[in-house]
Amino acid sequence: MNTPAIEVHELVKIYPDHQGGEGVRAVDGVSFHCRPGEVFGLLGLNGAGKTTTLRMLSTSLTPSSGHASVNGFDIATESQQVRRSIGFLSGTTGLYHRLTAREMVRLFGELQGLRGRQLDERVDEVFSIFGIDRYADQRCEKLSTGMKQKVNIARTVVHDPPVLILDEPTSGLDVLAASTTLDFVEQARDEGKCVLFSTHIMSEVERLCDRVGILHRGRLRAVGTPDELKQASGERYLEEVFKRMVKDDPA
Amino acid sequence: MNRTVLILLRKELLELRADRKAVILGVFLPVFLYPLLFFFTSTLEKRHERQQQDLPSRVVLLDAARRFAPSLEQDGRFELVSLGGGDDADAALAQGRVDAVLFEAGADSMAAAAGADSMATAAGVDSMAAAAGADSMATAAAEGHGTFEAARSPSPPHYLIRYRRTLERSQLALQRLRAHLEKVRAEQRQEAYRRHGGTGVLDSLEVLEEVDVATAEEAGGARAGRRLVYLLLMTLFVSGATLANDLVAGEKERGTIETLYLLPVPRRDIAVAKTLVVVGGTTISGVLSLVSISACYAAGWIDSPGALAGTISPLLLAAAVLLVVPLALFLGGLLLGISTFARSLKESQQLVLPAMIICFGAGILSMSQAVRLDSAVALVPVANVALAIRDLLAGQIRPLSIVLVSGSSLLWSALLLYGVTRQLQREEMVLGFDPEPLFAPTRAGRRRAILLALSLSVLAYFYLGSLLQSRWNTRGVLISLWGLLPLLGALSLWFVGTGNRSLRELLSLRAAPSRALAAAVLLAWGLMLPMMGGWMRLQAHFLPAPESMGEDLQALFTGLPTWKIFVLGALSPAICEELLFRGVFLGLLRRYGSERAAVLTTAVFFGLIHLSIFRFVPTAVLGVLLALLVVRSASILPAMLFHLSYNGTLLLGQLLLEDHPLPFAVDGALAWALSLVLLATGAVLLRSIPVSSPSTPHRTP
Repeated sequence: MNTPAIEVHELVKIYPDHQGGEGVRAVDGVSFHCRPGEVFGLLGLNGAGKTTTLRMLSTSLTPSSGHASVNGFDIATESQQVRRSIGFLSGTTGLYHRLTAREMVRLFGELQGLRGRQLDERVDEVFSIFGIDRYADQRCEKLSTGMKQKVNIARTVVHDPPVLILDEPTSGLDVLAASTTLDFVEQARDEGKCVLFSTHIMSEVERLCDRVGILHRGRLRAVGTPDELKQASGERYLEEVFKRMVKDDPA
Repeated sequence: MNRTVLILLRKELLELRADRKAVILGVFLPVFLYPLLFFFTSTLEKRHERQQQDLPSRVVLLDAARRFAPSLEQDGRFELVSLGGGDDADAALAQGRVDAVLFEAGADSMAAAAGADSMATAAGVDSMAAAAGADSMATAAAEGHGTFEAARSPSPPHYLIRYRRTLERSQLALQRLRAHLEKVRAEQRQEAYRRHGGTGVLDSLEVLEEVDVATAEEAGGARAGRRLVYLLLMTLFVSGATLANDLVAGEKERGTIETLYLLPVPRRDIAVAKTLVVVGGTTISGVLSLVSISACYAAGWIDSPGALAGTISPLLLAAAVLLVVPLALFLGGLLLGISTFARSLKESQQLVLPAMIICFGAGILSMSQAVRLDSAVALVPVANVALAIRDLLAGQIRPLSIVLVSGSSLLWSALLLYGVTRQLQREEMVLGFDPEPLFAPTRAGRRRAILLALSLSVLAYFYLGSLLQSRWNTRGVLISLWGLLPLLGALSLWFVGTGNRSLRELLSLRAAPSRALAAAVLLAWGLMLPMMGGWMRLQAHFLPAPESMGEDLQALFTGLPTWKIFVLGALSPAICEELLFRGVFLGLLRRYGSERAAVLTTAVFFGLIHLSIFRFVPTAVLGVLLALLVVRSASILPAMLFHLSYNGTLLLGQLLLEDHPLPFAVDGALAWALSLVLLATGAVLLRSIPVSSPSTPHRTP
């Protein structure tokens, strides 16, 4: 249980400047780790480098330097194994509107390598966990926002991944749909999954995160449990801690 | 096909099943809308024609022409309108109140009207030497000994019919009047013939009939072919664009593509599945359109009214499919490629429009009879299929052309689809994280810019150069070499940039080691026989050059003093072509890519610039040698000297041995041995030069 499921070491991402300039260091030497059964929150303003970090870890962006592993697989050389080990969800992730909820979740299960009875059983299982059985054969476009989010979560975990990477998963959702997502994160932690979670909403961090990393201008300014961060800075609320770190070095 | 592709294909099809818009556009349009459209237009046209035939033609007779009134009234198809005079008749014709005016030329009333200025250009004047003259002609014929002069005098009265070409009813009036007057003339001639004692039927002496050698299908096909091209292009574009936009740009916009690309499946499989759906859907639409239009044609709905209903033979349909499928593949690939660049549906639709306009431009080409489907046009995508379909339906195409058009379209499609699947595999591109501009100042971006500049320069040099030469002969050649080539070089350098190199450095403008200069001359002389006596002779066996080849050049040089020929054919190309190819382009390509690729690329384009399949191999081989000389000696001078020696010797040889078009027509063993010795010495000399890079200039001692 103590081996980290996510290990990040000196990760750098430079977006090249196509006009011939030096480029932008979106992520600038970030290191942290996250264990199974732990929720690690990446906290930062817009443009701090959260999404870039998560995209590198989910192997859709190639790091400029540094290395990282997910579930023991190297993100640079073992991308297929990494992809098999993660469930990725973001606030902008859409559903295939013209597929039914069942077709949608089945598709992702199949593409993750499930087949036959195993696939049927797993789809039924996630549908009953998230309470979408009744809507399973409705087209996704007809579902309510909350139900859509549940289908999206079901799609994320249909292959039962040990690691979850969630990029601002509640942005754009109403209170109920957001709460569904947060319940799901807690449940995943209880199941012993490793959850890496990016957000800029303090209440979510306070509610969920075991440890937090504050990311600013591509660098991790502080890592620790919320209490540790508060103690170190002498602030009462995490929000104050965050504001102070960002204010010291305005973007 | 592997399992992942099948799963992805099923997903795309499941989505498509629920996408009514795509199904309607791809299937409904060709299967139902086209037949409906054709059926209604043909029914309407037929009814309209019947109505026109039932209406009487309103005709004004002026002055002497009034003598036709009784017979016209008797005919029953005419309604005679009485008007004050020529001006009133003109006005009535302009307003469409009457359909035609018949009058005698030279009569006062319409003297002005017969001039060009009195009426709109759409008004036509039809003249005929009418009935009265027949009398004297018939006289001569009946007597059997009338002279030509006798028949012509007195001169027959000249009648004019004024009508309006833009009005259908007016055109019909013209036809009816003409037919009527012909009939009257025939009757009068017969009458006169009898009066002078002739027997039998006069008109049996001369019978003229037109025979159209085109079959009914061909005649209809020639008309239908042009419409068909447009409909086909429209169907293919609409269904292809709908699918491609939805499958790539639509998925980007809905945020589903990221989850798809984060799955542990090969990106190639995603690209292949998407390509298959778009290309397959476009092809199905294309074939459906073809079948549907063929059915309408067979039912007689596509044609001008009255023509025979066409029948489409299976062979014709097979040939059409052979043309349409590659076109569908090409357009499907093109539209898919476009949608990978777009970040949203809207952007994708905006990008599709220019492509659509360009492709329809190719369709417009097929409307012009002036554009022929030759082997060069057969290589131009879209335009080739448009022209081939036109010619196919008119029954004027050779099987070889169909194969060439189909083959070249398939080749283009294969290249395009390869590029598109590669593009779809570039995750960063598809997800819109980090799309690199096509001509970004990276090494790869610069290389793309150089290739574009090189291709455009070759095209411009070839087409503008030919134009200049045909217009101003030798002066045109000089302008294209000393004006056009430097201009193209300057534009290319401006577009690509010199990459922090001085111009002198980039163009390798520096003194050359004497060994390199000697090697250049030896190689040029040594290569002449293997090229002219060896390769060209060998090539003649499998690719015989037309006899007209080289005639242009010979005609150009005929009668010129030797020094002028030398300047035009050897000195100027040696300086100007070398500066562009071995200077600008070789320099740029070496700056941004590997040496070997630079040498080969410039050589291939140097071969292409002579835009003749018969000269490609020799000029490309020369291109390699010329580039190697520059690379080896770090100077452009040996290449110029090689070019000068090669062209100069060839030209002088041609001048000295006028009976032999090639100086090395006599190729004994001795000549071959000498060539090999020259080549070997040149090669050894060249190899002995120490290798230098463009950044470390070689200095001659």
